[in-house]
Amino acid sequence: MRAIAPARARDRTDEFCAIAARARTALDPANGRGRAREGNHDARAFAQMASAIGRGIHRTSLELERLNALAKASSLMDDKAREIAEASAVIKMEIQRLNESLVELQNVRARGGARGEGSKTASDHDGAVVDTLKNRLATATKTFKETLTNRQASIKAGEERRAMFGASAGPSAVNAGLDYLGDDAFARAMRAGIGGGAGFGNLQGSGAAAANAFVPRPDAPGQGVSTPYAMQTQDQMQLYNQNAAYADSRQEALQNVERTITELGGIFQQLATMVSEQGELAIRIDENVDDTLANVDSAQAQLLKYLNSISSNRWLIMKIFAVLISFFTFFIVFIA
Amino acid sequence: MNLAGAHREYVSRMLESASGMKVLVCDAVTVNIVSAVMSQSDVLRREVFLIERLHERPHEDMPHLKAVVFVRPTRENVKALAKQVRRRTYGEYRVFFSNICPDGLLQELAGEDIGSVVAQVEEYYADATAVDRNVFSLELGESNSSLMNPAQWSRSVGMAVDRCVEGIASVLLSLKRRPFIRHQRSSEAARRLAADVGRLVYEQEAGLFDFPRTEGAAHLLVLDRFDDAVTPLLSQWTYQAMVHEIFGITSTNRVDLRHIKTLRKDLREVVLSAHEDSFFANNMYANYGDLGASVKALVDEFQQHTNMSKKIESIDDMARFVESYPEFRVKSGNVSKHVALMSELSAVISQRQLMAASQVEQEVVCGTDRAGAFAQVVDALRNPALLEEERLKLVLLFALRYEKEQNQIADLTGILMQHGISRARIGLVRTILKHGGEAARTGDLFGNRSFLGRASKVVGSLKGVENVYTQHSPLISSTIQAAAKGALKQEDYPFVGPSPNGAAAGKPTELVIFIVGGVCYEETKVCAQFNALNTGCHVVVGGSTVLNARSFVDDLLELQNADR
Repeated sequence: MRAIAPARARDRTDEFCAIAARARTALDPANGRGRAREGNHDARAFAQMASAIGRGIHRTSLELERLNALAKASSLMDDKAREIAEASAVIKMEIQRLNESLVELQNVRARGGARGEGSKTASDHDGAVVDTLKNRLATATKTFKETLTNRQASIKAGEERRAMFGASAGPSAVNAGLDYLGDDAFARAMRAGIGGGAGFGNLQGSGAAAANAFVPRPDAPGQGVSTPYAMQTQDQMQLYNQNAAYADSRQEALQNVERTITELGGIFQQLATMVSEQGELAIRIDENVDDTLANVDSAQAQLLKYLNSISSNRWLIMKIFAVLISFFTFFIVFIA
Repeated sequence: MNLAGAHREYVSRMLESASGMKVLVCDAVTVNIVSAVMSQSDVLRREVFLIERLHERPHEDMPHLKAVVFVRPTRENVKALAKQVRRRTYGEYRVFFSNICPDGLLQELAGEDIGSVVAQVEEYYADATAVDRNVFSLELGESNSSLMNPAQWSRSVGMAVDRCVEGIASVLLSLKRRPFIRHQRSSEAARRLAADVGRLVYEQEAGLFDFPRTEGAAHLLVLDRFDDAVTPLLSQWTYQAMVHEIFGITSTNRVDLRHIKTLRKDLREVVLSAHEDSFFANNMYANYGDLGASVKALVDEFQQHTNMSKKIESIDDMARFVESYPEFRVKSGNVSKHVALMSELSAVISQRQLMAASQVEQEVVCGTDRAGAFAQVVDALRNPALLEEERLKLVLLFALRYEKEQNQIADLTGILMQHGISRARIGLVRTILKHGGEAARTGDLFGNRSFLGRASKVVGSLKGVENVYTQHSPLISSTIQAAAKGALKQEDYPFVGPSPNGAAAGKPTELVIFIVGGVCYEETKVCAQFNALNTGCHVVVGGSTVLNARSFVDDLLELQNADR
């Protein structure tokens, strides 16, 4: 119905077009099926990719579990640093790969959407699949991060314990610790590794974080170990930095909470004043109601007085009326 | 609120929906609906090159033309339209249904629209012929009589009933109103019709009738023709009613004068439309005497005009004459139309002595003197100048008025028989008493039920009457006044569906009256006069057809046949 229309009309063009379009697709099956097939092709590719990613995530989480178990089991004496490093490297790579393929999957979906093919429900479903996969990957990454944090903590603890036993602390503890433990072959290999590993330059500055590279390992394989070790230390350094940032953010949040509480206090105070004002108003209303009641009572009394005064006249009116009626009846019956 | 105006607006919107050359496709009903509100030249002005009936076999395809289709949403119409759409007879279709279109029919049409030639589908609620500003008719024609017979209602006349319900619904929709519905208690036909409308408005299409709340309330009042069988039988003396009584006006406001051989060819069929003919609009409710004066004034004015146009002396005069010539032609056509009608009317009236007959009719219906009325009727029946139908009308009126005087009625029918009137027609006396007698009526037709009514009649007779031929005022007049004041009795006119609560809702600001069995021009006159008073209540009146005495008697005859 148009706004300016003076009289009512109902426009059913849209309804008609919808029905007609439905009827046309029903009448033209070849065309419709072709389009459906094309759509199916895309959908299949999408589904395959999605399932591959799903499998990858599952594999990664299995690896993660293993890594977790390793990290927990490792004590000061029996630390499987190499296995842990390998596992974490593998997981990291895996996660990176999964991330890339997820991006690709999203691209595939966007392409399908841009072509305007497939129904809305199908694209909704695709979106849901991508989101689920993303979520799962995010969870896996988080677990990985937690594992690493745990691992760092346990290493720190180990370092502290070692510091208790050893003479020196700080950066020199690296060499001292090694000497103390007296595993010459491993220490030699390590030193060679320090020379060869590109990432080891940073290591000297942060003894605590680096220490895990030098825990005693009877079966150390030597040179080849250096690369995974370097990667792990880098990761841990990042974690350390992240931790500092995290602490900062916590502090900020705390300050925020503090501020909010102060504001709330102010609001409560205001509210209290308002409530007390309302109380005064209510009392005033109460008084007014009482006044009104009194007024109504007096009005009723006045009305009663008036009723009494007019009811005395009523008889006269009725008499006159009766005379008129009788005359009228007489007129109708006898004259007409 | 102006029904004809709303319809005109609908039609012009319809025709303006498509630009360029187009063809208007109608069905048998909608062609009347269109032509009642718009003249041929108006339609042509809107680039309509062809007006076609939907069911006529189409000539060759014309894809260069756009089709504006205005049809009722019936199965046959949709089938025919779907066939055309499939063939793509025209290049583009804009479909307007005159009423609520069922979803099934819409689907059927859409299923055939392979080439997407249908550009627009709308419902424009104009499903009743707008005879005048506030008068509508459903033109039931043949099936009108069956509507009056509640005993056979449920079987054979479903179509006619549905048509009435649809027509009323479209009127309500075009007025944008969801009314409170009431009907006359004594009439089974009115009750069923009201119930059907109520079901449609409050249940089936409740959403469509859910208009934003506006000021005031609308009432729909369904009455039965037999509550006032007198009005259609009386001779009428106002212009429109008189023409309808004597020549008959079709639903498209045309008067057929072809049987009068002395007339000029272009006057054999004339149009009497209040919208286009201002003289008719001013005088349609004028009585015979005033009408004569008006026609004389019209002729005088025209003569003056003619004299002026005769004096052509300068170039300026010539230019002025040429400029005003078309107008002059129109005027001359109009004047000759009314003069011709008037002279024919006066010829018929004097030939058939209608004045004398009418005086007796009025005396029977409005007078209180039974013996005098009987004597006058007997005299009139012996008058050789009166036609058979006039005599029959007189007896029917007498029977209705003095129903209990069986002996006198028998005497009168005896006289009729002597004059060789057929047995079937004489049987009508019994038929009309059976359906429209005292026992079947709700309203106080002769003003003799209540003491007050009788008293006012006596006072009226003491005052004397202005015009003996127009003493009678139809029952609907008092019904309208009572309804406008919210004073109609709930027992006599019960509500169907929800009833208004509160005094404001009880007094309608808009009153739609539908008379099952047909409306008379005298009643439309009462309605127009009431609207002119501006009482804050606007009345729209309609019927299943527009009756005159002849068609009413024919309907009665059919009713009698069906009763047997």
